[in-house]
Amino acid sequence: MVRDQVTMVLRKPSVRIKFLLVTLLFIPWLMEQVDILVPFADSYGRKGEVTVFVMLLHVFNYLYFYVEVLLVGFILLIPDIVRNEYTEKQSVLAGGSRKRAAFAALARIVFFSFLYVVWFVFLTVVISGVRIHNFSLEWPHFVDIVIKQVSPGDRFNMSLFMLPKGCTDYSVPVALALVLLRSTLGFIFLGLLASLVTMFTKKVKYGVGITVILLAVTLFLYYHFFGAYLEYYDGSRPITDVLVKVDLIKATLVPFFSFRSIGDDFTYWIRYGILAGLGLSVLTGAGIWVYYQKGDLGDADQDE
Amino acid sequence: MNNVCKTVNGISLISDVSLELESGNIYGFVGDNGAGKTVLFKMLLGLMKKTSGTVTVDGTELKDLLQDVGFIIERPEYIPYYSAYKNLSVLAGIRKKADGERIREVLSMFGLDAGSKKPVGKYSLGMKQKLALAMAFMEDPAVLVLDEPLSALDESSVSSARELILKEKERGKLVLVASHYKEDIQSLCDMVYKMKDGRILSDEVGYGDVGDNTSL
Repeated sequence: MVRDQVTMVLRKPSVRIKFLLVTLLFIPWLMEQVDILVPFADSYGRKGEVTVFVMLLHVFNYLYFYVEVLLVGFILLIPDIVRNEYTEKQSVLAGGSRKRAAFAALARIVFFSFLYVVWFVFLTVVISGVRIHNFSLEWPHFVDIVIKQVSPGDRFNMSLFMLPKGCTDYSVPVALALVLLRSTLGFIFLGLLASLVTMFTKKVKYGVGITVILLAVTLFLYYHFFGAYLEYYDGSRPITDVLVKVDLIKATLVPFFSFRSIGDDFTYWIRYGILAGLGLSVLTGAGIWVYYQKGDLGDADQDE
Repeated sequence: MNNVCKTVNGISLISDVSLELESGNIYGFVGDNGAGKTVLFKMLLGLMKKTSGTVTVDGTELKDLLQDVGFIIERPEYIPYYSAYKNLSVLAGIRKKADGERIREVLSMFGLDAGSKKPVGKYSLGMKQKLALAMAFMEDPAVLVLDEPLSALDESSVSSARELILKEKERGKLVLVASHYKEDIQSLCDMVYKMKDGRILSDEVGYGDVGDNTSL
């Protein structure tokens, strides 16, 4: 049932066109990044040090990559991912059980989120590989130099090179695995949330709308309230520590995909992003599961 | 069905419906738009959860989706870019009850060409309806729930589809039909229930009570 649903979605002409459009948007964006990063690394006197995997890390840590390419594409794909023709009635009844139908719906979203990330990883490796020719799995020396130069919280370094301090504590493959896991969980969460909203409202446009709103709030807070904190007093804490500060950026989509800046601590933010993505995915997934067990199924999309 | 009710956002869609349906019969459901026929069918299929009451199948309360059922409910869903054969084979792949031979057989039963590569999205309304019937019949289910099964079909297709539905009854299947067309109900059904505002007006309505209009 899962395989059939996935094949059905992949064969949709609209899905193929959207994938193609996002890919076309991505290729020039990536080539521009290669053109920026290579001379940037060379300027540290280490010519040819940029590797394909460092490029991959930079790209998948970079907020603008998500804002300008990946999230735009994912939002476009939401109507195809959260709903397909057979999910509504035929395959649900043919499956013969609400549990099977729920599992298939969850698996479909998880699979597409994974596929989406894998596709852009593949493109980044191929395209930057053609330009860079360096597939080393070691950290280039210039990364250390750049990170040491950055003062904590410096946001402007993000525009050139996005590897926060502490990332070199991990090997390149481990750092890469953590970053890709975080991104995949971020997309899974967005897909599940869109699906849940669609199920409750019976309208795909609201499922799409919730992701657009989250992205808009993220950009608003990121650009206008960078470094701003939500403050409140917690009387249960020690007297010297009663004022609790919550970083507003943590309440946005930023930690699911990126860092505030190169000045942030890699371990802290990646852990926060993975745990938040996992927790919220489990929560929204549980919501979908419960809906499939208790709710009314088989309603046609009521967008019309 | 025993005292089944369905309320959504405080609006009663089905009120206190009790029915006993037996295999080997065709039951007709008539009523104006919004009378509750489709909601009733969805509750029988297990797609809609009842607010109160019980639905029992062979002595066991229905808690999940109804098994071994073929159906047409509201607008049938297809994969528009697949052929008719491919549409059915995808669906058949879930339960693996129907093989390629059966799919070809059921398509030809309803006058569709199993070898055609034409995507279903380009089918006429009538051809889509034939495909919906083929989907419902494909796995030779014990129960058929058919909401407006003969709409959009041409005259010869209507008569052959009626024959096929009647044949299922003779084979001991339980068939439920909702239709606005008097002729469909008269030619097919053993018993007819008239619905209004989510209620069944009487346990059984004779054909004479259904009315003389061509459209119900």
